[in-house]
Amino acid sequence: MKIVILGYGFIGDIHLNAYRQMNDVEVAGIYSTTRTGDLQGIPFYNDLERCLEIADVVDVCLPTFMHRDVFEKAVERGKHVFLEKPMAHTDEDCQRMLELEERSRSKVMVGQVLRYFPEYRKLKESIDPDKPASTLLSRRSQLPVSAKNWSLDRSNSGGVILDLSLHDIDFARWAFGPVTRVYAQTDPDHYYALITLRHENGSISRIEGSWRYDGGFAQEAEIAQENDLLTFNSQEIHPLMVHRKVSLKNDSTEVPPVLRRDDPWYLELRDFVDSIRNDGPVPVTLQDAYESTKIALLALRSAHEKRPISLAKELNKR
Amino acid sequence: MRISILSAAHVHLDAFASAVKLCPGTELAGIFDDDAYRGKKKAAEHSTICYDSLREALDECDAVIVCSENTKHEELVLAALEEYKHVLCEKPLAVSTKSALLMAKKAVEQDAVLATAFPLRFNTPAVQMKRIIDQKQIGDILAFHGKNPGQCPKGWFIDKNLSGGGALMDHIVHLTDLMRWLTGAEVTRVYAEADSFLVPCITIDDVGHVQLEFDNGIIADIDPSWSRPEGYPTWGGIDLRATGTEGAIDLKAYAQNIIQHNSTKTLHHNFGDFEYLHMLNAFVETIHKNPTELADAWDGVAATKIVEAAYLSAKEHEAVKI
Repeated sequence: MKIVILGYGFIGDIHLNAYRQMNDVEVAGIYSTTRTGDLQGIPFYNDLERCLEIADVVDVCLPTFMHRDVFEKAVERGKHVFLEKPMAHTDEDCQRMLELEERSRSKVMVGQVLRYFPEYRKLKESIDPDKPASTLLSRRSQLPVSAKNWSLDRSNSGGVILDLSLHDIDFARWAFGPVTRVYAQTDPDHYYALITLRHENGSISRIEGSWRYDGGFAQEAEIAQENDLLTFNSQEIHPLMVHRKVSLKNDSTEVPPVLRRDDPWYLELRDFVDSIRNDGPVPVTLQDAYESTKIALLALRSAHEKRPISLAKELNKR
Repeated sequence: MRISILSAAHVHLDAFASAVKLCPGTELAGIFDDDAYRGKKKAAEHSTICYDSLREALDECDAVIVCSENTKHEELVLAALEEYKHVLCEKPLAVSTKSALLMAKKAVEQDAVLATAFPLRFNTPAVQMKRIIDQKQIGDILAFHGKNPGQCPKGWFIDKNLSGGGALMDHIVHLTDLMRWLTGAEVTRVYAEADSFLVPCITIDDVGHVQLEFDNGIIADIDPSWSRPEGYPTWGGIDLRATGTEGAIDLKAYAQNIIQHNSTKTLHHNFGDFEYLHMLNAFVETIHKNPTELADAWDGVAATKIVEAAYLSAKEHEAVKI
């Protein structure tokens, strides 16, 4: 199975490392507009069409605003597609991609990777699905550094809500089911957001997303149900700490520390490769990812209009 | 200065009584309670007198602390102000804006001090936080993320006729007051989701998620839920994260704990400063007309307005302007 990775930013590199642990796939090329030559034998392509030609499977790690176009090209050529989250940055793009997928026979999966983090899986397993929950989810880091800083331009990335808080929105949907009402506020730059979700089953989730946190990467969850409380804070969990005389500079992009033999990115891509190999269903479908992306987009609208958005009303309008 | 405590209903009575005894210049005159059994029991515990009537309690003091059920604040505060006694009232000052305004105006008429008990203003880590914000060490404040979860206090707290409301009434005001105090900004918009599904066998609100907007553009949220089960090692806690243009501050106001484990449970023993003592000091200084950080009646009014807006928002599913 020949895979090409489109885009070689930090997530492209993480995916490359995951594929390298699989002995049944070959990374046949990497599409990049800035790199030339090869990376330990894997050629860089500057021409998207030529890169797509050699692929069975396309892994899209390009900036969000470019997703729709390359998705269209890949699906039209009958390629299977793995899309890094968020699937797209506008509802129009999402709708178009869903139509394209429906007409194709491609396997399409979206990298809602939090579902592969063992702590979030354990939280979900520990919830009583028959009872509503009161939940706080927080995700914080420094400002991300990306090529031409595209992720800081919210017309291209959707800002902190779509790029960062989408992880927690997706988890809330995955754990507590469909959302009926959304309310959100952001700072003027969209580097910080507060989101409240009301779910169909009565659960209430509140999400904090921050690109303004210099206290080290943090992901936090607190889930209360009747007579029950689950808490998790990445900053309080240190299975291994290394203390050195010389302090090392932090990397510019912060990702959660993972101390597992199989990291979440490996697990999600392994599932995707297996679903192609076995012609089985993908664990995170485009439609499923769209449901979460739609809520993030409605949160952006709520913040803009300074009012709660009811999803039932939105659907009736259509 | 002789201080009577009016009612032993609220769990903070012990903290107030201890503070009065520790504070130089104050003396515990006694306790009055409309529940005579409760009053006698608490008076004995604190080695003081239990008055049979409110009249006696007021006659014997210079100032009072109102520590009753929320809906009885108005009656006790007005009675004390009528006699020109200075008042420190347990939060929330009132269960409605109308009632809070009535008390605040009465205090002005009588030229007496009416203060609202917001002890966080005297919590040493919070005081340090204010200093750091005032020095602009994290630039301009953009957002607050607040948590004031707790165990369900049961008793009269879950009887709406006495409490005026559940978790939202009980736990929104500490953090809204802290945010107002830290920034000098006022809340202009409130959104809340609320329900009752965390504590078995009660119908009053026990879960809430509140978002706020301030007049200078700061955004904020607060979790006031009674989400700590009985097995939780402490009553709850107050956490506040301030995010600014140049950094962030994480406050855990009650994190200074020794942790004790025994064969059946885990307990926290706080070793932080005793904030009620510093609050009481400020009450005395305010009576002497010296400037302090003590929350006044108008701070109590502001807090009550926010709670009222939160209940309305949760009912109407709309953002409510103040």
